[in-house]
Amino acid sequence: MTQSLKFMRFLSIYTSFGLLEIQRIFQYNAWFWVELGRGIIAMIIMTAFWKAIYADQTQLAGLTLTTTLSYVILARALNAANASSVYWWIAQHISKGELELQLLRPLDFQLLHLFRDAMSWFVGLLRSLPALLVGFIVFSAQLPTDFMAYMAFFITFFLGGIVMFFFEFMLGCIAFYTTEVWGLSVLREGIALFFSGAYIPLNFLPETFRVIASATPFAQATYVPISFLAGVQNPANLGNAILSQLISILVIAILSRWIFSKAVQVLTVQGG
Amino acid sequence: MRYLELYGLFFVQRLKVFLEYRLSFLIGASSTFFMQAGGLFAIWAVMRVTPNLLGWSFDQVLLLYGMVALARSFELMFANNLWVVGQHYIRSGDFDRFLVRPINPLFHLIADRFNHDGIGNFLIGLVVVIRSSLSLNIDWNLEKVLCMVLAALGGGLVFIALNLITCVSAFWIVDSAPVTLAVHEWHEFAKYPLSMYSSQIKTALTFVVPYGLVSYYPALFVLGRDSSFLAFASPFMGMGLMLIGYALWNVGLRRYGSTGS
Repeated sequence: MTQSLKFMRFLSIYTSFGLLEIQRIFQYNAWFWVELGRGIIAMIIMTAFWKAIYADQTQLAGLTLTTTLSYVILARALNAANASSVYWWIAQHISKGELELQLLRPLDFQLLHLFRDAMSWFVGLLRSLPALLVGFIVFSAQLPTDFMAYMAFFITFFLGGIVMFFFEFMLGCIAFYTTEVWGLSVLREGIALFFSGAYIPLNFLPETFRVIASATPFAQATYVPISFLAGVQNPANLGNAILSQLISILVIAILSRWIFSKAVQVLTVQGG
Repeated sequence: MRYLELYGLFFVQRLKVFLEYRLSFLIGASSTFFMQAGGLFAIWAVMRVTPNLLGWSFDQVLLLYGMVALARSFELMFANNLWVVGQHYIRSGDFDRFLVRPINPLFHLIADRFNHDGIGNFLIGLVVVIRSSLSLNIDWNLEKVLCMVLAALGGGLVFIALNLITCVSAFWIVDSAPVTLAVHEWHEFAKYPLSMYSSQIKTALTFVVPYGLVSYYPALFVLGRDSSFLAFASPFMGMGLMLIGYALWNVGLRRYGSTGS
């Protein structure tokens, strides 16, 4: 083999490894840009939709166009930043047959995952920043001027995250019985769309629906914090909001631990 | 004919998997129903307060929504593998399986997995279209029925073709899902009247990423608001895009070197 052929072969082998790195970086970046792009598309649609809806009126369901737009844009930008992944973790532990190893650890399984999730909410907030900036700069979402509104947002954002965590934990226990999680997760997302206030402020719902929705974990995690940040809810209501979130946490936490203790007894390890 | 027979065989295999995991099948098939219902509920709640969206009533918006769901269900049911060609087939080296068999690799990829999640989409699309057209008292004639059927089938073709064009990027970057998603997301626009958007977006949705041909133009025709040829354009646009997609697919296939795993 001549020297030049050897060199070409050398080059082709090492370049292919180099290309793999480009692929890897591109994929991470690609997902970032695509998510931002999806956010922008949603914001364009929302802005056009709400402007058309408000074409002949200044107030609807007690909200002005500016407040409603701020709400829906913030809801889209934050895009469940305080969501929980514990549901998937439980399912994954079960399907890989490694749950019993997790349970053998001298740590509280539930608390461990709560801390894991809580850290991810900080990352979630950071990741929402580009979409939030686009929302404020391009789509004129309004930031509150009252410092208390930010306080109310942060407190209810994290408490709401905890409510969702315990709820998702409870849901994850279903995987002990079904060993199937994908369909159930889509089902849950659909139901969350009804009640969380991720699409529209709950103020637009008929009274009965609004009362039911407000009591769900979905609304506690999404509607409550965003309504403070968008000016839909007055920061003076913070006390009530916190109380209601704490009660939800208490009830769902106890329930989830009870269900987990029952469910773990029927654990079937897939693939032995 | 041979390919149709083969598709039947693949389908039967897939059905056996479903029967093995019956609960999973039922949940999967009904889950998209709830996702769609969630979106519809939000529109209903708003239009309950103001029943007018630039001259479009709630039932008319429902019609658009249902038509998009119906067209998309064909992509979901029959061509869902285009989403995961990179992640599930090329990355794992599983794609090589298609290359050593005496059938068209693209056909094999598509036939490899019938996706039952699409059934829910199809049913909700159908129910929403029927429900809205009943309350709109549409004066049906052969032309209008033809327009709706073509919009659903041609629309399905548009969805599949755009996914095919974008999934070809998997031959270069392996995971093509973000590229597909970036284009696919535009279908969200078509769930509302295009007159709501700026003229640039409207043009893009008519000629570049023609999801507007799936719902808006056929709906205008069926509602008797406009009789533009665009109401019948989705099958032609779909076929044109399919040809482009297939040509690109072949370019990608020639370039394809296995991941070597």
